Amino acid sequence: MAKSLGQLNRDTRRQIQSAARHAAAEIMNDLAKAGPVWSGEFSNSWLANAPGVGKGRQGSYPYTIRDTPQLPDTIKAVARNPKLVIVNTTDYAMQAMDLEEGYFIDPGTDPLGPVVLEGKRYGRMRADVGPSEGEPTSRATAPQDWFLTYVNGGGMQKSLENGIRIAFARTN
Amino acid sequence: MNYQAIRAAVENPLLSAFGALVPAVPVFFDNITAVPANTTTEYVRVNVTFGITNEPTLTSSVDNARGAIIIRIFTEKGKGPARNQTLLTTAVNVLETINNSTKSTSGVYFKVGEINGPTFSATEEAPHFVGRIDTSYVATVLS
Repeated sequence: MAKSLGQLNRDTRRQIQSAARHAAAEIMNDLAKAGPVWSGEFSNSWLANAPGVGKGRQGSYPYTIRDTPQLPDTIKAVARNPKLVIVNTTDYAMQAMDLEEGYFIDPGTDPLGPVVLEGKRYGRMRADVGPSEGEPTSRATAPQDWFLTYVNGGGMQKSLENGIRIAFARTN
Repeated sequence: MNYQAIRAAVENPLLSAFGALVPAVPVFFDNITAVPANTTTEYVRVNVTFGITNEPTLTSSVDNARGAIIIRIFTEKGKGPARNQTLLTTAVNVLETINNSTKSTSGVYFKVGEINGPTFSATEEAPHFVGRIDTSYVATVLS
């Protein structure tokens, strides 16, 4: 069916916005998979916001495009370059992402995720857990610097590519 | 793939640079227990992580790895940022020197990306003022 140029442009804009939302969902899922999982609170607290447009709903892992805010597709709104910002809403997010020192207590319960470090705590960073001679007193469920590795090591770029691929595969 | 050669390409120059300072500043790398908590001694932590290995590129080589370098500088809390920033400058200079190296026919060709930071933190419980920079890298094993 023939479409006017204006309509095609709007379709294209919608496709791009959809790609951004799919990419955001992919990134949130990969962050949830890569990060620490003890009670599941941290991995279920990723949120996509669009500043000036609206907040996504607080979903939980696995995240879908419905957990990301709808972006406007009018020419005027798109010209304002709407952005998607992904945040973790826990108040200990900086410590969990190894971006700040903190105070860590092993809750004594078994984590939902796999334990990747076990031993004695020697420092104030989340993954400062080293060998111990006796019973291990500290555990961690994600490797040191998992977040910066994901961002800098190509993981986030892959998530972005996957999101865009999914969006365009669905619309074509 | 030679992960050890890639790690050495960035760890050795950092170890040399901080070792050459007067007084020398201890550097702790991955899987080495850093100085005990609550000490106010200054030190440096370097973490080299691996993200994606052998990603196809436009060049013929697929023997490459991408990852992250995270450098944390721990200095005494409550004494201002000057000392921390001085040590951060040492680290940044090393990364810049690595980036300026030319590609040879053997060894590891190492390039770092843009450097994020420095960001500083000093939490209530911890005894240190912490400065952090991080960057991406792409390393190609040439031999």
